[in-house]
Amino acid sequence: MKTLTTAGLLIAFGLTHSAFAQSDVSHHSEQTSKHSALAVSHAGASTGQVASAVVAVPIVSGAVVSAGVASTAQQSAEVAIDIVDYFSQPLVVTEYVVTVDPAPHMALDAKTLEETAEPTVRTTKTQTIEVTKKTTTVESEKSQ
Amino acid sequence: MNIFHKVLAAAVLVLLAGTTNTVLAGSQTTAEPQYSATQIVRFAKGIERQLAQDGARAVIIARAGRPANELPKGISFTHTAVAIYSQITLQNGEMAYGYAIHNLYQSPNNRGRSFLMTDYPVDFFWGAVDLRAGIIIPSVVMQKRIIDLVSTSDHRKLHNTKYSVLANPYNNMYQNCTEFTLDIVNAAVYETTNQARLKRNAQQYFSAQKVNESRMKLSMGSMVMKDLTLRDHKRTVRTATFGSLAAYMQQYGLAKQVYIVNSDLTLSQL
Repeated sequence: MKTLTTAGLLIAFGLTHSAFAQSDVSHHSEQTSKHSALAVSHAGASTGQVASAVVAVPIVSGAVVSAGVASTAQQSAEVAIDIVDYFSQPLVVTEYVVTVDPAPHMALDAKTLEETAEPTVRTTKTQTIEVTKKTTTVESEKSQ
Repeated sequence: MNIFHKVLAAAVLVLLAGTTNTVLAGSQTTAEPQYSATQIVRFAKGIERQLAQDGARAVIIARAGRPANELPKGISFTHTAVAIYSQITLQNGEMAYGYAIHNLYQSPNNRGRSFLMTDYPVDFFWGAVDLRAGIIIPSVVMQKRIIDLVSTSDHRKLHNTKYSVLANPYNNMYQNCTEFTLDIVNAAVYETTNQARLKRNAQQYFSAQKVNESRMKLSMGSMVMKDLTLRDHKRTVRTATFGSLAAYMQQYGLAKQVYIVNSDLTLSQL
């Protein structure tokens, strides 16, 4: 009977919980598949190069920082214009596909592979380029 | 098979269906991406370029963990965070420029707890079930203040590790990702991390989204789910959502632009 009660409670709540579930971070297994999938998509040259981020620092300009210390009304107005200009200018974003580091076990696997590989196949970058070229060739042949 | 077994079997079947449905919600731990890596990268990069073109340096960003037609009335997105244009040091030593996203995430090992984590657009949208994004570009003054708050790590003072999926934004008993974002916005407005003051002002000015589910159903859920409690609520259950946050920021002139980015990167109104 206890099982039935618990089952009933879960049934009653199933949809509600799923509708609100929100703040999950990708789990290790998902992160692993993410890094693998990104590596494959890059090998196919369909996305930018994947790069892991070490740290991100918000950018604050000198003009914006000085906004709080303007002493005269004219200075304040000038700084205010600077701020509006600063926050209106188009920005540049990297072509890298920046991502968080892979899960520890995946990072370890990659490192282990690198350490144990034969010297001739040690440069992953060269291998990737070869794969890309092959893919491109096949696509060119198809399009002809 | 007697009647009890029949009922139990039926219950288990429905339970399995319910569990499957739950697993598909948000970027659940076991969820497979609903889109290819190429689609996600294109979408994430497209959003970055859109924000960069707008000159946005601090943005409120939201993703949908479920298809729009399956979300309760009044709720369009399931996860909200703050994205800030940043200088990113890559593992290869290069410097790159793009958006870093400052999230409150539910702990995968203890669903009643949360932690703060910085990730990037591709990570953010990786488990999205519906490739849409909600965007609030704050006013210039608000962007500057949000950047100041995050660059000094003062936003961390606003974090409450006790997580509830329907946290009441009017008190500090529990917190979810959207309430954390609301707290960041209000900390920027009032230039304080004093929780009592922030919650007083939220009560006064912020209209949280009423949750359109029966109190009994929610109460039953809270008996079995670690990440749901009604202890922080009075009679009506209200929580912070991307939509209610956007409405609040527009009402008080804190937002410059609010829009949705669709899967084909076209823009539409919230």
